[in-house]
Amino acid sequence: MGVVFHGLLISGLLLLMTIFFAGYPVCNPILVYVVYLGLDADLVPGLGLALVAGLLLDGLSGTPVGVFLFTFLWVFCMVRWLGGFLRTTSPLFPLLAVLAGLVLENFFTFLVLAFGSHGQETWFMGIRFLLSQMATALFFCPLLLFFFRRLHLIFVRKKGPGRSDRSHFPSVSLSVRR
Amino acid sequence: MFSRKFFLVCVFFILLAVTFVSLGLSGRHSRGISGTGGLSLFFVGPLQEGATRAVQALGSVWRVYFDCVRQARENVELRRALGLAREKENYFLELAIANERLRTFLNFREEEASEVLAAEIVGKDPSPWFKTFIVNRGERDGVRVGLPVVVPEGIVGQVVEVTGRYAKVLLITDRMSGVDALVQRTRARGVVNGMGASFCSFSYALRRYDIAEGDVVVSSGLDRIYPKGLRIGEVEGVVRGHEGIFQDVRVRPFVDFERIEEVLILLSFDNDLRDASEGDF
Repeated sequence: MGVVFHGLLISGLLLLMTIFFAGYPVCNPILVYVVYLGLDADLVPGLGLALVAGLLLDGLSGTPVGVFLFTFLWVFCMVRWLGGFLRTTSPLFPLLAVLAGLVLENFFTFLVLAFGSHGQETWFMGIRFLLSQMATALFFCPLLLFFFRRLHLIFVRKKGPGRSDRSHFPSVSLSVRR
Repeated sequence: MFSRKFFLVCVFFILLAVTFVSLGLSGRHSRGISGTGGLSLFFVGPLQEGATRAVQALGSVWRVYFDCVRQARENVELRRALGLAREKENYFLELAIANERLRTFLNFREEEASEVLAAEIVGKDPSPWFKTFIVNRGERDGVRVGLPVVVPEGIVGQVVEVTGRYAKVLLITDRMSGVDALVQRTRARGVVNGMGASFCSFSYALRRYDIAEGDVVVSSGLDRIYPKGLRIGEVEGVVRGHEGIFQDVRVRPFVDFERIEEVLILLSFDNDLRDASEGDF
């Protein structure tokens, strides 16, 4: 059930990004999803899902392979690592993680363009994209996180017979990791 | 033997190195080493097609309902215009017959029409940095990497990745796109480069060339991707600095990339080029 749920969620988010909000500099919803995985999922399945999402997004985009893949990888690792000694239940934590992810995503894109000698006059555009994405993240990040957690509660925890709270994806109210 | 901290530091630096090396290689060989694109198109393409069709169906219901009133009014006017058009059609038919007769007389060879394939756009680039479309035609329909994609208004781009049923099209406005082009009026040559925005730049145009606002830019055919003479855009601004040998020219494409829903893929063109290039050697 968990795999189907996450597969459908990734597919829905990909459709959202490639059909409804294609090309607009808004907060990447899959980045919020990766932060959610970093917060609530176990290491191996969470990392796997983050990498799959990155690969799919790289494949659908005109970016050379790796921009989204490495962004999601770093964001996931960062959230897991910082979750070891910061309060992950604070609403600021996921928001800051998403903002950091947006900076990383745009930095990697700029890096790829610069490596390929296509980076002329991209600073202004990059800053404009980043500011716009950050502004939308302030609104979308808490909303999407709430949405993901509610969906998880509805479709996975309630219908997964015999699963404990620490199974596949731990409970929502996961607090400080020690 | 090694502490956990040492292990984490090692992993961090290895990951950092892998990230920069991979991104560096991807940047330099942007289309060469990306093999995951096909996988993504294979899995997500059908979903995109379904969602696009659903959105279009909803949109068409909306349009049909609200357009009915307007169309009734237009219908009366169009009937009147049709009567005039029929008279003109008869006149042009006569001219066409005369033209054909005279062409035959002068031994002109009619140009063969290119083989084209209509495709529907089912997805767009999720990143604001890049400009690509995904279309619902692939290898099964004869689409190959490098084929030019056009609409009646002008050039759209070229195919950069293909799977069985879907293909990815790099638009001329993407930063990684370049089209060898000419200014139609003065035959000044340059390269139309994408700027990652709604406009392009006409690069490598020498300062001595006469280029003015409103000039039409067309493909030169020398890049062996696009046929010669296809419309690209209109010169929007020209800046001739005091230094350098080139002038800065901004081109606004004729194609409205935000609105197009279908495109045409020129299938036969690269065969013609291949034949021509083989003939050169």
